[in-house]
Amino acid sequence: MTRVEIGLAVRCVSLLAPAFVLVLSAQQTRDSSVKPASTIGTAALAGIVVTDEAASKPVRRVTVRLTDSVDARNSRVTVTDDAGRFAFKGVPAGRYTVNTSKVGYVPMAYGATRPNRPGIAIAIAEGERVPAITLKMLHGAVITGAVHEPDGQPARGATIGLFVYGWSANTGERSLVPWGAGRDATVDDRGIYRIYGLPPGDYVLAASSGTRATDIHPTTDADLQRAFELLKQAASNAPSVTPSPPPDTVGYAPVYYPGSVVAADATVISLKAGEERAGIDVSLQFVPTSRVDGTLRGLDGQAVAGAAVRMVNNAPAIGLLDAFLFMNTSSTTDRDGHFSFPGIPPGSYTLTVRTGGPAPGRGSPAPAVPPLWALGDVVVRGQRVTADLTLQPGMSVSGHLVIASGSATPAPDWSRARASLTAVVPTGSGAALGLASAVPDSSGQFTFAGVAPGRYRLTATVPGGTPTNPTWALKSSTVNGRDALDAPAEIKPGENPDDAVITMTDRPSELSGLMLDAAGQPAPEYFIIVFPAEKATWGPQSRRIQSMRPGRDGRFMARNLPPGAYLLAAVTDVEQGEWFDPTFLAKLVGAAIPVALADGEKKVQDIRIK
Amino acid sequence: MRRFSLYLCGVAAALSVSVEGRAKTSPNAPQTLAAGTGLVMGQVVDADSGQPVGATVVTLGGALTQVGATGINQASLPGGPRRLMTNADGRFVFLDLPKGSYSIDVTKPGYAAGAYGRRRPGGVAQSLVLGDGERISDAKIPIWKFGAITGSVTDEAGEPVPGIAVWVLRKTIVAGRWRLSSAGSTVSTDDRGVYRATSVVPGDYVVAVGATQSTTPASVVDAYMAAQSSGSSAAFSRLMNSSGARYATSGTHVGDLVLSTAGNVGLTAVAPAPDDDGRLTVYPTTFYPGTTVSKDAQTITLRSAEERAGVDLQLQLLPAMRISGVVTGPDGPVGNLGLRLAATYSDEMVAETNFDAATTMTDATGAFTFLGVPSGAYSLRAIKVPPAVPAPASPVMNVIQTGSGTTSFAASPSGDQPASSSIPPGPTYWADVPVTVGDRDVSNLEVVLRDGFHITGRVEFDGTSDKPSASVIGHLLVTIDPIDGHSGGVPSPLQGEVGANQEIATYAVPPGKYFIRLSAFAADWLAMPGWSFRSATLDGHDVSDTPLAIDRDISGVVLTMTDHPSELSGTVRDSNGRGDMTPNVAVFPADPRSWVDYGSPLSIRRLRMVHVGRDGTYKFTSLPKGDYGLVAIPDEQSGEWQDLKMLEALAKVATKVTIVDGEKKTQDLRVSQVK
Repeated sequence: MTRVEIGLAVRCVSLLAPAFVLVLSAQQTRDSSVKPASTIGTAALAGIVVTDEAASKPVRRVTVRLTDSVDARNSRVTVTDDAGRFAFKGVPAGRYTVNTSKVGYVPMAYGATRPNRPGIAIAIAEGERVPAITLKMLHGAVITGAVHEPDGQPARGATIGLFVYGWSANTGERSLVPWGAGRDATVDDRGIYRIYGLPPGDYVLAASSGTRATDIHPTTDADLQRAFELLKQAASNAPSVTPSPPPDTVGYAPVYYPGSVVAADATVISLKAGEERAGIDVSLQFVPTSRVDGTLRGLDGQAVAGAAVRMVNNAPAIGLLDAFLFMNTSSTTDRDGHFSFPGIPPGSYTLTVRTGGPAPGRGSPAPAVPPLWALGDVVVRGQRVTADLTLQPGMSVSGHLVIASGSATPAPDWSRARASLTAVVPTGSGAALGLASAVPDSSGQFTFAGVAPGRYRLTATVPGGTPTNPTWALKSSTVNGRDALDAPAEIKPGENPDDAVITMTDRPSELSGLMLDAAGQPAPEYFIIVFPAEKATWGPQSRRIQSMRPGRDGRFMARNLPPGAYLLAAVTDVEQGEWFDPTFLAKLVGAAIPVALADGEKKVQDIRIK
Repeated sequence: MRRFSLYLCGVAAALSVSVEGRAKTSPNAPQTLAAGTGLVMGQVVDADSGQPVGATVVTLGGALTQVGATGINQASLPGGPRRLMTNADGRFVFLDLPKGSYSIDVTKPGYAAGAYGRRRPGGVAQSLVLGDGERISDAKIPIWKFGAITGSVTDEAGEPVPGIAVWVLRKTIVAGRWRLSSAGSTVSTDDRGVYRATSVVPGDYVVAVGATQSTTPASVVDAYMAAQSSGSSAAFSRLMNSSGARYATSGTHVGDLVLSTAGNVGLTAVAPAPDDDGRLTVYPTTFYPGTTVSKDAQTITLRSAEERAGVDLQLQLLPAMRISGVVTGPDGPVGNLGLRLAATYSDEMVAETNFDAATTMTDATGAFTFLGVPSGAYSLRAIKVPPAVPAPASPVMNVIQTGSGTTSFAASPSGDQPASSSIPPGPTYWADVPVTVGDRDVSNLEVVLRDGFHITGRVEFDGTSDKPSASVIGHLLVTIDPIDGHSGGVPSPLQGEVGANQEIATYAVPPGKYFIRLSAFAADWLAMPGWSFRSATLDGHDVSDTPLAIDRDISGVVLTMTDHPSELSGTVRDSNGRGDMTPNVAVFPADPRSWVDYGSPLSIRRLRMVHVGRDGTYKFTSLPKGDYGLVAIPDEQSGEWQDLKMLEALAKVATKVTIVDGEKKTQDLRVSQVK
């Protein structure tokens, strides 16, 4: 048994919520084991749901979900009675989370320290009668207000989006993310909206018009003046008229409360628990929009007809608002290779084209038409823009799937696997053409055709097992003999690597243990973060960084960490995705336990608060 | 297969206007509209007050053309549509227009869309024909401010019921009878139980809170979970969909069954958990002011822009029973079969399957249970058509990756796909069994599936024009249209298709009375200019507008396309020649028995109404042969003209005309006042 002593470190790590890094000691214990799953059981779990306030009251008609994290078939749903009580009977043994929901209230998980945090798991044995649990629910806060058109009329049909600051899983940066997918509100016929069921916290609100068109020319006095002059002339012998210049066009911009088209200028709305905040009013605004025209040419310099040119906004998309204003649009080239995009709002865009491609069928051995691609960057500020594109030959990346040496399970049917080549693009720096997936043949051979130059990550999935514990886990991938998993591989023009290898393993590593308090009792109320000792590998979407919530028995587990030197830390609170933030991890280093993990190792490491 | 699903969507959505599709932009079309010297100036006004409406979006598009008997196609304008916003006086002007035919659409959130030639919300639009250098300065386009219906929903304890769907159902005429249409209007209650339906056009409405109790065998839910984790969920859902089975993936376990009250559209009220014996109480579908019987629902008549408040509903819990039994077919028990329990009110609905009282599916042994059924009279219905062969999926998806997100699209743009046989051979099994539930469970119900009947025949082309290409012929659709325009859950209208050899193939159909007709998508009509559908006959008797009782396999149906359709046209005197003020001309069968049961709203051929053009003329093409009444009436009297009382009044003042196949007939009219 080893003990690791660690110095004191109590620090604030979150802007929104003070969270504390815990003083830990480590100790080695028993084997880990996996229990078989079943759907009929003999255990029982009961409890009560009450309001989260000093004089708490029972909450009726709350939907209570019991979810088995290992075998979803064991999951159950029930409803609280008029006294707020609920009961699950015939529960199979398993590790369960309990979640409550009721419209107008803030959803909560059992054991969660606050809304939007994961709960803790309850390990239930066969035949066990779990002592009654109590869940507390907050009455949701409300934001309401009026939205006006630029002319002061009620902005009927406008959409209200609500955003919070959170860590983006894509970029690992703290940025505005939509709150509650699909919970956008619509402004009614009186110009009023109401968003309810909100947890306390800081919000940013934006409104976007129900009018989606962005190529609208406002009728001007000059237009009418010209029309009246023409009407005075005789229609029959009308002189030939020089056509007017293309008219200026506008579209509605999303407006952030209290009145800016720039998200950074938004005023944060801080809501207390259950508060109803009225008077959050917004007026919509117009922005000038542009027309982007261009010609697509092939390798031979000839115009290419009938190709789909897409225009992608490079700005970080934040929810429904951008779905219309920063929409990704498409234009098909005409006989002369022309394409045209009217009504493009100010911003930086990438034009993309892909023509040709592999023949249909598994394995796709030979492309039917040589795949070609083109990319172009465009910046518009309300002016007319011309952007011509020339197609380039695409590269080919091929290779095969293998199983790691020492795997006990026979190789799967590779034709059910999917290989993916994902383009890696820094935020706001343009777009790249990726290919979602390639279907290998039964021997595991795969080919991506028409690959544009760029940096790519090569991954694969193989069906089988459960989502949390798949039969086959991704171990490594290489292109040109170099890692293409943790660091993206660069595909250069004219290079056609045929030696890509994706290795799958049936023996993923496991790092598990018990989270214990100073008295040696389970301490489920913490978050456990495992991350690499080597700072250079910290970054968004790293498979070497995982956050875990221990169960009520203190048990935690991280699967499929690559071999290496890791640090294990515990904190009282952490926001979703915050663990990819290097600043956050740096604060944990001093109070963390070092753990070395070998290839395929099942390591048990208990941690104890000192 | 995709073509078929598109068509079926259209059936569900379009009732008053049948825009069958829009022409695709041809890659060879010139990119910009040639400059001309014509102009169109006009004003957008509120239909009720006549006051101008500023900040509306006015869109100039391509010409509207009639396709088939009732479809309308909007051509694309070279270079794309032109959009304007009206100034504060509601004025707009399109300058530098070449001669041509245009459409004008007007939209503003909070208003029913206006269009050139449209005189009623949802009414038919007209093309604006502009001569060379012509200047039109008086295009007045009305838009209609929506009304609102608002109220609250409470439960039996008087507490608000938050987050549930409230249906605002419009009374509408389908095949001559009043039905309830859910088109476009469900709203959700908020945290206070308050709802507000805001896009309500003038008309008669019924407000309801719907509930469908969906039972799924736990074994199916488990199979779904297993399919999810093994990556074969697509195959699982294909299997389930082929049997019409709707299954829940989570819900309340009652023994080895899972009950979900997630409605077919929107959320429904959360009812108490089952008691220890698995007994349930449920909230049944409740109509304002508080009845489970749709006939007792109160009709709310809403005028233009009217707000009706206080339309409050209180839900009551009812004890619920079970219906259980077994389904057998010719080869024994039938597993994984979807079953519907239609309440009496279901048949009054336009989209009746959304209003099922309960749904369930059989397990592998053919056994089924409906949980949560309140006392009442029901019809237990099932239909199983042979499963379609899935189209091969695109092997590669393209992805555009940005720093913050991903967009995926198919590798090859979907071009003109070759017509492939999408109707698989095999029987159509169906059942329609009345079930009455009292205060006890109904057990051991035996449901026997029967086979439907097949229809064979061929398509003939009568004319001297070039016959459409084999691929266009292969795109023709045979519709087997239940005469009541309503099918009791049978996919409506049932489809058939035409082979390149002109032979037709159909799904087998349950017995009943049907019309047999040909239809096509707008793009396909445009690909066979001059041709239209004339008639379907069986042994020399009409079956396209005379009901055909199908109680056996039918062979030898002849569907005839013609290049010389009948035409009925003329001039309406008293018409003042202004495009926005002209009357309408209605044509309808002389025989009152044909004023009901004339089939789906999408294929009405003998009851039609057109606007009189700016030149005072009107025209109907492709009227089936027969005797008709013909009448010109002022626009303000044209609402719901297919109502039987209105048709009686019209018949009194109508001019009698007889249409013969291929005849071009002229009949001038005067405007009649109808009382």
